[in-house]
Amino acid sequence: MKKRNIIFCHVDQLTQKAISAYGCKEARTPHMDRLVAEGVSFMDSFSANPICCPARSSWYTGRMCSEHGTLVNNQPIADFPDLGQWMSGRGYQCFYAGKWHIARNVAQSFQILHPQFALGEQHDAAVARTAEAFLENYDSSEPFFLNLGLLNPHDCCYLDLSENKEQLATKFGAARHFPEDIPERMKSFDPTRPMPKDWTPGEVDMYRYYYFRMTEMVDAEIGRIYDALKSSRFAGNTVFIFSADHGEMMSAHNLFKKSRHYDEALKVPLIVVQPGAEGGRTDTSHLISGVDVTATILDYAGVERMPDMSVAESFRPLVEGGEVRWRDYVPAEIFQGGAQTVLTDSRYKYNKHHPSGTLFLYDRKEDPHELNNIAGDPAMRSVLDQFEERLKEYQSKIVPSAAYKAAMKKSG
Amino acid sequence: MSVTRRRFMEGTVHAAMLSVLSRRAFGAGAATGANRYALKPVFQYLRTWKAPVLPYSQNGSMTLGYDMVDWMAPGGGGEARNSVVGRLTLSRRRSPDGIIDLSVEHSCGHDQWTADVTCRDDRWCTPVEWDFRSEPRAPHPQFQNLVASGLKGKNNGEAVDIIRTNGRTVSVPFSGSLMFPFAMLACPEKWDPAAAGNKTVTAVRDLYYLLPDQHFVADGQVSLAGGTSLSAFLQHGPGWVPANYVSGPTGLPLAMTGFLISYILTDAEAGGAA
Repeated sequence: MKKRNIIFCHVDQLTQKAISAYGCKEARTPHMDRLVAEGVSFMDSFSANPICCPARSSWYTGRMCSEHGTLVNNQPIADFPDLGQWMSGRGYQCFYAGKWHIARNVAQSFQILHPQFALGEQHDAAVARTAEAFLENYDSSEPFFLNLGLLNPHDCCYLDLSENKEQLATKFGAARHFPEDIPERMKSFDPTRPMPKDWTPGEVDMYRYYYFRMTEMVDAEIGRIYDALKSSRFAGNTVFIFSADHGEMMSAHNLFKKSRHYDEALKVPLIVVQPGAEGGRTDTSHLISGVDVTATILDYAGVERMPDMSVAESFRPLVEGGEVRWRDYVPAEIFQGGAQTVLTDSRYKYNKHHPSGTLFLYDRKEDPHELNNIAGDPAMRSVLDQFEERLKEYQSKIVPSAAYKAAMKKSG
Repeated sequence: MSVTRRRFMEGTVHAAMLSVLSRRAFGAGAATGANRYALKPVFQYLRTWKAPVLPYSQNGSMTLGYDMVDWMAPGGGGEARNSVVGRLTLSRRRSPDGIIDLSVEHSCGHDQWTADVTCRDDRWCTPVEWDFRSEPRAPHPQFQNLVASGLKGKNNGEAVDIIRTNGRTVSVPFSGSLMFPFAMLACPEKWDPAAAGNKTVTAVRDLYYLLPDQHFVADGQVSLAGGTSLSAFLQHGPGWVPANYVSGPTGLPLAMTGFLISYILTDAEAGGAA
């Protein structure tokens, strides 16, 4: 059988809750909605570590951050093979365009079609045009693995960079022109509580307004790429995988950006469009990790797994409608602000902050906005015990890197 | 224009921009209704910027050169900065037969595109048809043939037809009026201060992406000595961050500021080759 082509299209900082097909009323995302309609959506999809560099390193190595050693942004990655290197040596032409953000020269791993540029406002259209041109011009008989790193809505990270509000590029005052377009506030946002950098509730509203516009901007680029695939000669033999490295807090719990255990930062869109597989399906019963993307890509490519992918599982059988034994809980890791291990099962989310020993436990069914930490509730003792056992199991399963060992030692 | 007059005008425009940024009343007229956010994305750049002072002319040909300026700041404090990251050149020619021809050259890093756009000389400078060529520099010459592409666009009044060089055609419907932001930038006489905020237009970003429900409204004016002014307009709506268009005392379209990317006029020439 002819080998499949694979496109892995990823965006930066897109929370699952910003997609209109999933119920978001604040952004118009017709193109991601089309992916939802034509593919399989995994609704319990979690970033391996909700920050750019570690999450991306997990995508491309198939290892958890504790294993590849990039615990926070721009920390070196251990010398493991990545998807580009692995698949290039096994019959695939591997290409990259756009944001990479792994502490390894992307040219050591992929053939570069378009380099990274820091700003999505300018960069993403160039990446989409590059992808469109590639799908028109590629004429090799060898299968391709095309990786497309779009940036937005990551531009929102620049909304609050400067301490001096007078120096921000944000047009806060413009809100007077469109008061009816200001997004509804989040349930877990409390305007009476202090905000980071003394932002007013009105400024928080504009942050969210910008975030949704940036989401719409990148949605248009996704549509351009997907249209180009669908009308290309590769449409019938190319799997399209779409995801985000991590989400965005969007003011939930009065927080912005990422590196948090809350769903807004931790849960990411994950949609797979596979020719011949039934589309328009939503999977809510399988707990997926970012490292599963790696195993799935290798599965689709018919290429053996890379060594020591201790957690990663291929979700291809789920896309194809098959039954498969799946994990009971999914791990995620956070190291910004101290080492944390987040374990989520179908009912509860548990987080242990290792340096302080602080525990968090949320009932995902009864408290979907994660407003009540029930770790201190005596009735939850058995649940906590079970998660403590799972934590030990997880820690014994991974192949720890030197960086992780050092971080845990520091945590006591 | 005499050298003395030119220098005076340069200083005037520069001072006006800075006054808007620093909230100082300017000249004989106070800074009424000034919306400083229109220029904040480029406030550092403007400290050393010299404004072109050629009088704007609607008629004939004009070439406008812009620096593409980014906005960045160190996380957690420190002064924001601007860097020039690219270049935009708009060459506009108005014909007596109600047509405006616009040539666009846009480059930033490895990304480069050019376009020839035919517009109607109407309220929105409506783009009618265009030829778009994307010729980025691939990091490796081996892949140059993989990344070059082009398209033709045609506005039939109800839809925009995009025809790729390989023949693939996409038709995207729209209703109402259509505008191309860079055509609006090159034709500030189309910026209507009386435009109602509830009227919308569809914008075609990068001559490909249709953005319905865009508003284009007057967004403040600074009166200058001698009866001239600095005017800002705002485009806002789904699919794009709020963008300001700013014109100066000689009528030249001085700036288009988005969020992290802005365009600031550095050169203006009458009679450019459109």
